[in-house]
Amino acid sequence: MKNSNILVIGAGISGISASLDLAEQGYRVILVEKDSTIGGRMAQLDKTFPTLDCSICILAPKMVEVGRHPNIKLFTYSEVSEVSGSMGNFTVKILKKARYVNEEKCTGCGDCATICPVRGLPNQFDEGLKYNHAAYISFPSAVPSVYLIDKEKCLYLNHGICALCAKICGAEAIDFTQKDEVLEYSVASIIVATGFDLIDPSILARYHYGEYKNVITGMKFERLLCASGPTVGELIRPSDRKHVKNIAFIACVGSRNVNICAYCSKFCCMYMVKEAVVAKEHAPEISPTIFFNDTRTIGKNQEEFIERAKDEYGVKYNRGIPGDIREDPLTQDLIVKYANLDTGEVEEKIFDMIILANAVIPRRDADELAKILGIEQNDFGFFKTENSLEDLKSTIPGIYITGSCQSPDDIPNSVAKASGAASLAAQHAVQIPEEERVIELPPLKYVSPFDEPRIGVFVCDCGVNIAGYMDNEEIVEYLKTLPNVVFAMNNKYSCSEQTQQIIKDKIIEEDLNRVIVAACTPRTHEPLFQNTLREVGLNPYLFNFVSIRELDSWVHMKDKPKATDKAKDLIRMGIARARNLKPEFKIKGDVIPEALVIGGGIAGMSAALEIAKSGFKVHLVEKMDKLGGQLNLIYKINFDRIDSMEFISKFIKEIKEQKNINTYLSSNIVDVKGSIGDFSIKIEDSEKSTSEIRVGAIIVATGASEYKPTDWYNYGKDPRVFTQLELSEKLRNNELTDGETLVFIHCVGSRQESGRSYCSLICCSESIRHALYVKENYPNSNIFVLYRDIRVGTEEEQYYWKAREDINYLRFSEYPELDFNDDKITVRVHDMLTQINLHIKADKVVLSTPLIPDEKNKQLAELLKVPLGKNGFFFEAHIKLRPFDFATDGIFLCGTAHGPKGIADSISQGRATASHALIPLFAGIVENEPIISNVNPALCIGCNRCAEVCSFGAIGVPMDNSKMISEVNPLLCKGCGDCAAECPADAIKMSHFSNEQVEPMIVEAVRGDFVDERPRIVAFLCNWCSYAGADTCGVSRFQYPTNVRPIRVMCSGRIPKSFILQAFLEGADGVFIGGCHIGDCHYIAGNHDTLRRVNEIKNIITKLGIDTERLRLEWISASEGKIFAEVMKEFINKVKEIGPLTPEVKA
Amino acid sequence: MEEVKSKNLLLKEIKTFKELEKEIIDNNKCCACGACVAYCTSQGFDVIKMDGNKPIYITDANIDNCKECGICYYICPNTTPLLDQINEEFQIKDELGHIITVIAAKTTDQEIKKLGQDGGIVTTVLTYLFEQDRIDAAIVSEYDENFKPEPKIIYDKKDLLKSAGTRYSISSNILPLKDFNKISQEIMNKKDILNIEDLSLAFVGTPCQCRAIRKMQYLRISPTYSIRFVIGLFCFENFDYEKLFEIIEKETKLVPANVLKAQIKKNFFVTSRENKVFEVDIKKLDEAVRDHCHECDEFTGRFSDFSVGASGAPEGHSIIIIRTNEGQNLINSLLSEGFIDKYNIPAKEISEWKTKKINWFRKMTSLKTKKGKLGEKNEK
Repeated sequence: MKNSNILVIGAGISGISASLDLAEQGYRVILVEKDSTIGGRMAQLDKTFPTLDCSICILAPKMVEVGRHPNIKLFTYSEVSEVSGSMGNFTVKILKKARYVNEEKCTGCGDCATICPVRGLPNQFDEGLKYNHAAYISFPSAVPSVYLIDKEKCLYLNHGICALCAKICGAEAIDFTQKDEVLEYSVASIIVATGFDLIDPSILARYHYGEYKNVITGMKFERLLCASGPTVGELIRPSDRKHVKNIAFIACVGSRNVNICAYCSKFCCMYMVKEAVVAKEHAPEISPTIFFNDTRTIGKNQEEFIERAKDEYGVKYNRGIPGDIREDPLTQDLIVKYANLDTGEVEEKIFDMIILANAVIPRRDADELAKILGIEQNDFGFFKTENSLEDLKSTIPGIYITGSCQSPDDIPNSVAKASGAASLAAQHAVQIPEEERVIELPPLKYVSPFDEPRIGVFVCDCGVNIAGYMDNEEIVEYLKTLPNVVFAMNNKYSCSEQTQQIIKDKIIEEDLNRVIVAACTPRTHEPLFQNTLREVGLNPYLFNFVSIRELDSWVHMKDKPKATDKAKDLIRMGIARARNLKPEFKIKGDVIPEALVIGGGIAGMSAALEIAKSGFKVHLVEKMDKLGGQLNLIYKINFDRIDSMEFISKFIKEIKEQKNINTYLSSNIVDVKGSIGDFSIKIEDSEKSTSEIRVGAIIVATGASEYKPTDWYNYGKDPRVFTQLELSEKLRNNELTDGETLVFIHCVGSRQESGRSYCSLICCSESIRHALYVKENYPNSNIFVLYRDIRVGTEEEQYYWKAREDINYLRFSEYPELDFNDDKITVRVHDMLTQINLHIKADKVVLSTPLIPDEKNKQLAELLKVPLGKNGFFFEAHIKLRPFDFATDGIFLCGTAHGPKGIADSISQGRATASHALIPLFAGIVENEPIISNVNPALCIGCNRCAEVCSFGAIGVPMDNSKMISEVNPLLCKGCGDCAAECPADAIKMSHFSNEQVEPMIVEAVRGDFVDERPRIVAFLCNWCSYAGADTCGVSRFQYPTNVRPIRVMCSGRIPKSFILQAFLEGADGVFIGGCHIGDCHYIAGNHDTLRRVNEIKNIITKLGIDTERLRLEWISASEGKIFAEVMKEFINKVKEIGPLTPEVKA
Repeated sequence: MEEVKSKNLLLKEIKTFKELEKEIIDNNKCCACGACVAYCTSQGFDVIKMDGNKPIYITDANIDNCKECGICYYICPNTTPLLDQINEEFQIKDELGHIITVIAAKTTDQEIKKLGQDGGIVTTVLTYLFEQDRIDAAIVSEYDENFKPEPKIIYDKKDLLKSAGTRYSISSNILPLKDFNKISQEIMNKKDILNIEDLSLAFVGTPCQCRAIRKMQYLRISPTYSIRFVIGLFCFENFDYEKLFEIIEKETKLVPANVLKAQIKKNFFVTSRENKVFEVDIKKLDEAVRDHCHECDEFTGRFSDFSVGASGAPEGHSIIIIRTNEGQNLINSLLSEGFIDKYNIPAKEISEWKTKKINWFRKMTSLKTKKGKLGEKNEK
């Protein structure tokens, strides 16, 4: 009997990704996390490489989604204590540890922590650099937003005294009678995503970690860098709090060490250079040096990032790990002795601080968990997989592994593997039956735009968090005097169950048709209230949320009267918007239950199989006359030496057996129309006959091929010079001769300064595999490998060591030169280690060349309207968190079409795209939030400016010349509003953030009935970054003056010049616009357009006599709370200096 | 209590300030360390205050402000809770406490020598800690112009010179911590320190005060988590200020404003501002001795990182009893860097010197408690 439950153990980015995929597909996920919050390691990072995204900014929305998803049952502060049964039917026992706080009642207000007298407990999240109370929360944006009490340190639990938290908690959420609970569930399959630990570097005594205060770990440095971390982003060192200038990173602390961790930790090279770059961005006077062995890149754009770090940011790389660190006892500076391999000298340098890249190790509880699950661990203690190709499957069927608990990995790979594991885990389960999923909702009340608005306002006290800093009763009385407000009240905690009931009752009693809640931040609680409205028959888009906590009480704690006045203004602005809110309805489209997979290589086949197994028809289109792609050319796969032909034929057999898969060989795509849910595709075969199909989702798996370097080393002219793939063929056919000298040359055509800048990631291990194979089968061969860096994965490190026993590895910085004058090829190379010039007489020269994108990619990209990246591979929606989706919904990307990768990764990515494609396929419908643009055809002049600014291909004049009027695809539109701001004919209206809804807010913001002190500032803040930054500022209680009236928009790109002008003309003394940092825009490029518009309008306002200093554009990210406060203070002072806007201008 | 019960608590009987008054304060067992008032006020509860040497409810109306957390009762050095735990934590097996070693030493700084009582050790240690930036503040006791001790938090080594020398009347050294949260903001802003827990303080106090500090540190409560060094002072008995100066005036005609220095070395000596030295029969001062002192058997201050005192020290030196690793490291640093000089024990005395001193302390300790029992006997 199949079950709908799937257990996911661990809620870091990998666990979160797997859970969301499965929940969206309609399964019930039991997500168990040991820590008190989800988020894992990624939440601790400042920025992610190579994009330098703010980590928590991109992670937090996913965390919130997990917390709210109806199909995810989240258990935090819990662990799996027992597992029995087998695939399809496991019984699991979950130990839910007592928090002593009732999760349902806790509102996350933090009063308990404020009053708790126990302090100074090192906070694990901040790596011991910050401290919390015995009642605490890991970090402010924790999910769930529930506090907990440290059992060991709580005075009540240990001594029976205090209990101040219980006495002060307004929600009565403290419950000292709570006990650990054991819950039992039956699940169909299990995904293990428990992540990793980092080794204590004191194991390497020569670095004196723990002894010398200024020697810290990479993770500690990450917290120092973080704008919301223990030092608010100030780079000060532990010993004397001095700002650091010279910092050194030391690689491989514990890794690649036969006595400690005999493997490579994989991602440290990248995080060291990332931290160095970010440090330099914080303080340009910082001088970072990285001491390293090999630099290892593990994903897209990372090679380029390292080169940029060296060229643009001046990060120094020193090849050679220091043997000795000493501390100057007076200054506590660190003296490092190291070998400079370029000069051959031993040098000494002084640093302010040293950061150790300590080895990744399995979690300390990994052994225990392995025993509980019955799965095996490999020699290093990580969870073992079936073989190197099936790296998602543990040794027990039905239990899958993803992320770093299997092998250290970066975020994009952890996300791809998670989705891959999800697709496998889903095979054992059935979706939650219809009846259980559909919630009975009352019919919607009809609200006409001609009805008088009847507004109800609920002002939240939030315990003392709001009520303690402003007079809520006064506010409520004031609100009752405003037009259209028929009901107003304040309540203790608006988000509580109780208040939801009160709101519902009042909606019915007072016949409300608009509801406003003035409380914390819409970014977390808006959906809760929208649901409440819906449950009582009111359209959820008739709801407006006004923030008077993060944007008012918490940042104006010392000025009650002004804070109260500001709250009145803010709520009045909210009411002005609410009057013009209209009922909106989610956009729905049907999904055709079929999928198209373009490319029949291993990635495409994996994707096709998973979709077919789930019961949907798949059209698999392959340009060659057989399936298998590049695998047809490879002899043996990976270090396990799996036979390639056997491996492919297994897959091909499975494909043939799947009745759902239609395979089109020797075929190509020639036309694509439509969008997610309904694509029309034309396929043409070798005989020029076409088939037309309609599908709901498309997967691009067109692969890549080996570069043939005709411009290098006489390749193509001399048969003794060939590529690695060609060597593979010769090995298959036993064509080599024993006793020959072979020279392998790496990076031929990759990692070039001009041309192909990327690293192809897999060639080093390919070269080692071949070298070992040759040596084994032709034992008298003499092999020289000439390389720049050796880049192998975690488990592959040991094979590199084995190879070095009999094979000569020579590192070069200048490419070797080849002479073809003799009967042998003379290879001339300068060996970096010995500093000697070598001449090698070679019989054969083997070149490692990069994978290059398929030549048809450009055509296909145009047909699908998806972008290509700089190097010709397809460009995904987001390098870190959406590596296998395109920005265009419904189209997915996997395998080497995305970028060079190994076979295991291609398979997991293929499965991952299947997992994502299955979401709309299973749902049968696609839905979109009704925050979308609408074109008024009467006003549209067909200029197509809207299409030029849209990053999602959602709007524009159709290409088929049917009409010269722009059209919106409501399923693809993301609601940024950039098109509306751009339209010169004012023909585009944004629903839910229309001009009718925003303009009255501007009027009210500036009216200043109560703002008795100028300047009056209107601030437009984008939802994803600057508004979130204002929230973070509030949470951290950074104070600034009360003069600002914020207006939230989805994207800064929404703001047309008319809003700015209107603000000034209404009498604002200053206008502020906050957006995401360039490159971080949630809508990809909205902020570019904001920048342009602001520059344009500066000319206009100068002509009006308005000082351009009154207009300020600033990029502020979600974590930059302190910066938000600083910028506000600075701007307000500046505008004060300039003086109030003169009356003449207003006329 | 009803209100509290409804919040899901199974509260046992928590002893609050009411019980503290009944059992300790009104029972002559209060040593005026200031811990209860410091804790309660630092939390912003507005319940109790120090009235002279006595903690009391601010007014009757303030009694209702009491949150009944029971922490004042627990941290009082004279109540039973937590004594077992801190005795274990500090490895205390007898009345002298855990001893790593005993030395005698004196300062090498001439200015401090002039101002110091005996060896000038405490002032030198605090100067060192400020100079090395190892502390941000120190809690010491200063003299006002009437020779009355005033406990204070100081932030600069300059202020140390006003606090050198021994106090002979009660100074509630823990009391200044009541404003810790307010004061610490200033230092933090000045020094760019972001977390209050990163502040570093040194505390100098009598054995009972050190005991209270350790109880508070055991619970890890505000505001003692920032105290990194606890320096104990030998204490035989302490005097009530008013009563003491009544007797001194009677015997020497000296008024408080005219007193420069005081010293107990077999007898009680007072030095006037004109540098004239007066001797007073120490038995005459018995009336001014605080009652509770003789119930206390902590002559050498068991709960410090190291304790300093004149008793048993050679002329011009102080005895330092080192108790913890922190204490040892600190004293070693001062010795090796030449800030203090160790007394060179004459060769023939070396092997027995430490034992002799320890026996001496035991004798002094038992004298202290005997005096109490004698006192009791006399009262009866």
